[in-house]
Amino acid sequence: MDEYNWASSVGHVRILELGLLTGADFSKLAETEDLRAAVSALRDTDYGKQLEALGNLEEFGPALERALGDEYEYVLSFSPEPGPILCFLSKYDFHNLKVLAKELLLGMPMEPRAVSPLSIIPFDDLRGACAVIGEDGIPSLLPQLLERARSRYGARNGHGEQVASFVSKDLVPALVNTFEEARRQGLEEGGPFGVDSSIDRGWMSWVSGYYRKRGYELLANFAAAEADLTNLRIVMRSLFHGLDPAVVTKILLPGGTISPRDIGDAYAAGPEALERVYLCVRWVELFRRGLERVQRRESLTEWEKECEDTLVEIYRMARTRALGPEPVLGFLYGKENEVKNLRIVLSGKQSLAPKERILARIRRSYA
Amino acid sequence: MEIRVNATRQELTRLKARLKTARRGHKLLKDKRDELMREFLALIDEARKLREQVDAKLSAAYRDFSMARAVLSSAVLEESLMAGRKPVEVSVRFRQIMNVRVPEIEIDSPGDLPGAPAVPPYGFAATSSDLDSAIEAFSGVLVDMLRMAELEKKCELLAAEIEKTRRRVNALEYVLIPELERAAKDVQMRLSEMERANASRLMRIKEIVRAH
Repeated sequence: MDEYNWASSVGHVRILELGLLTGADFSKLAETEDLRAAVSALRDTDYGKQLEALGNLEEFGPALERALGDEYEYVLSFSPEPGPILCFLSKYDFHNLKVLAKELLLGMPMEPRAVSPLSIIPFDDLRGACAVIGEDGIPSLLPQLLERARSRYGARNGHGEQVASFVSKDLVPALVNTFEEARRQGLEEGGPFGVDSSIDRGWMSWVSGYYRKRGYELLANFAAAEADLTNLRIVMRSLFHGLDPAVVTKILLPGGTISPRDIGDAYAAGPEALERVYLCVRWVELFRRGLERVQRRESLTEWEKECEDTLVEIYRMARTRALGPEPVLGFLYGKENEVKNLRIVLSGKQSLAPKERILARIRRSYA
Repeated sequence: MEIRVNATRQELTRLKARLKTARRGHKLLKDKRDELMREFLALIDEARKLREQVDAKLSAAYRDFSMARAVLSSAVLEESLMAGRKPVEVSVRFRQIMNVRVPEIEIDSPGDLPGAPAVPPYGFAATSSDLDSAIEAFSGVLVDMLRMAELEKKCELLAAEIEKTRRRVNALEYVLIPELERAAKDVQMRLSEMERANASRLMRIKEIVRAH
């Protein structure tokens, strides 16, 4: 990986970062009178174009998603290599894989709104590909998938071949393997919980492997931190719901600094054993606060916000990097976080939630 | 309603018998109405309290759900909710209260109601605890909603029966019984009149016979 290739992209991103909304901006938004006023306040931001086109203000969710999609495409257009960015975006493909797995494996009626439009591979192509997996495990519709992926990104930014290569060599095999694993899990456990968890594990395992294999150490560390924090949240929710240790071991994500098996064994042994596992990593304080809440049977909402704020802080390390794909991905993460914060504010305004309630849920800004 | 009958002793006896039955029916219906009212008031009080509880619980559940909707993207939320929880199976039996057939709902299979051990129908990695709270809250309110449905249906059926009984009591009390009394009195008076006329006629005939 030649970091110098990313110099121009990092420059672009530094300018884009200036447009990110700050904590103060979100506070101002939270103080607006109603949904209409909040949307009006966003007219001068990057979201203005999408929000202005809204006939019905209540439909702000898809508009924010479109704005995020535009940002992804723009960042891709000036990135020297699309691999790390596409790997970052692959979460939407894995999300669509969940929808597909539930439809094909569990026979659930497909919910069109559950399909993410931000995936690299369009959902219909994915469905076609997964429906005809051959004995060799490779989808027979692969050429069509590649063609669609080329036309989607290639025409605009000249990354056609690289996108096609990424899709065929990395993404599609990962999706196929994960789908097969989900098929096995779904049949074993007979439920959507197993299918979802299996796909989440497949995604995290593949993403961290991809970054490590290509030498993106900091990105791999980000992925590890995300896996750790997600596992911590899974553990707390499992403790809260009293899930069986055998189930918990199967749903923990790989790729973190603590292995799922260690966490699973400690979970079975009890909270003291779990604390011993977390003592050797930087999440111990977060773990203690979470455990306290679980033991007091208090809502985990604020604690989860704390976990997400911690992850934002970790991603913010990318801002100190002068070169490489990390600042670009950090910016994209910051943008996703910004969209989440906007959803929190606008949903709060929509449901007439008090200002304090909205502010308590707003995540730390990447800006 | 006017009762027209022939002024005969037989009709008078029949009218008196009808009056007696009407009075007895009136008393029975009044007792039924009072008992229905007693049952109704007890149920309506419980139903009102339960509705307040359900409203509060639903409002909390919707609040949690609106936060889950804010934290998760719409695609993630819809995907998470593609699979419902295990269905709750209920059976409806009927019981008689003062001859009113009221339903009683029983939960045969609790599905994933609170307390039943269960894993959620979505993975934990991409969702938040707000969604768990919302689903838990909605599941929790279901038992109360079933009980509320039972109570409100009972109240509705009892109210209809009370109304029907009240109309019958009033019809007996203000229409049929007074009419029967009036008719009986009319017949009675008519018979007395006829008796007096007969007596004076006999006296007149006696006088004529004596004069000859």
